[in-house]
Amino acid sequence: MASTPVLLDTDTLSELSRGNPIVSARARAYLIEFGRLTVTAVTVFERLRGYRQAIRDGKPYQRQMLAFEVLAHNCLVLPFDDVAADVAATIWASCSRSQRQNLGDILIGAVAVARQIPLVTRNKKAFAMLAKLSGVDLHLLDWTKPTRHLAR
Amino acid sequence: MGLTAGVPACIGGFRTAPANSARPGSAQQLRHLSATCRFSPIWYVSGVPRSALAHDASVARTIRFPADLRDRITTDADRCGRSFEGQVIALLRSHYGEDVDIAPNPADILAFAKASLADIPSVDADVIVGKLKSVER
Repeated sequence: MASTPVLLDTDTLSELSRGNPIVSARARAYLIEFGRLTVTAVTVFERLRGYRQAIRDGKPYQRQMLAFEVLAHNCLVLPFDDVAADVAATIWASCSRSQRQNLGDILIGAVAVARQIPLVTRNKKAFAMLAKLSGVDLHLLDWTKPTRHLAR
Repeated sequence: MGLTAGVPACIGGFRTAPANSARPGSAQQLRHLSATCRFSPIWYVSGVPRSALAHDASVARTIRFPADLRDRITTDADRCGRSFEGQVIALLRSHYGEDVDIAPNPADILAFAKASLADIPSVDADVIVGKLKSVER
């Protein structure tokens, strides 16, 4: 199994919420080993703003938002701190105008680089491009790909 | 199995005094525990006079655990990166109101994750999980 803690990107957490069986199996094995999932405050913001906007638009999603809040409370939530801000600025300055639109990716990638923790994402290609352009050291993993151990 | 703990306690199916209603380890609290335990105690104290417990909050004592309970605590301790004793003390602290980091059950975490998008149409779910985008200045 994983030998080091990892950071989940928003899309991986979303796959978990959607019940993706491969991601769920990986997450279960990870939780048994490490006890808690790790996400960033950026991911918490991204999800909460989605619920709040939907509720403001009259959608009855209070129960689901509460479940997410409990989930986040039981995760290790890494803040976007001054070190991450410095890394994010480096990445942002290296990107094209279109890549800069993916601000969430830049902020989450920066936290992973600042903490030197592998990032689990479904979108390795985009993050690899950000890392290549800016020269930061970003280790990427994808939990949506089955492993031999969990595929049995 | 040896254990040094500050407070004698019953867990699992026992009612204990509300927090701060009696000084931990006090004779009042011990009487309360004794009066409200409905089943045979899972944990029990041996070899220590109650009068000593009332005056010394850090006395060493022996607590015996059923094998299956011991195994469950050991599993949780490994997952939380604690010793067995550290896990027991963390559980007691959590029970008595201290903010202690106790890793929740993996199945519970996964259930909360699924519940966070349960019964939401995919079109709305796509919006809720949408990533942060910025408009270039």
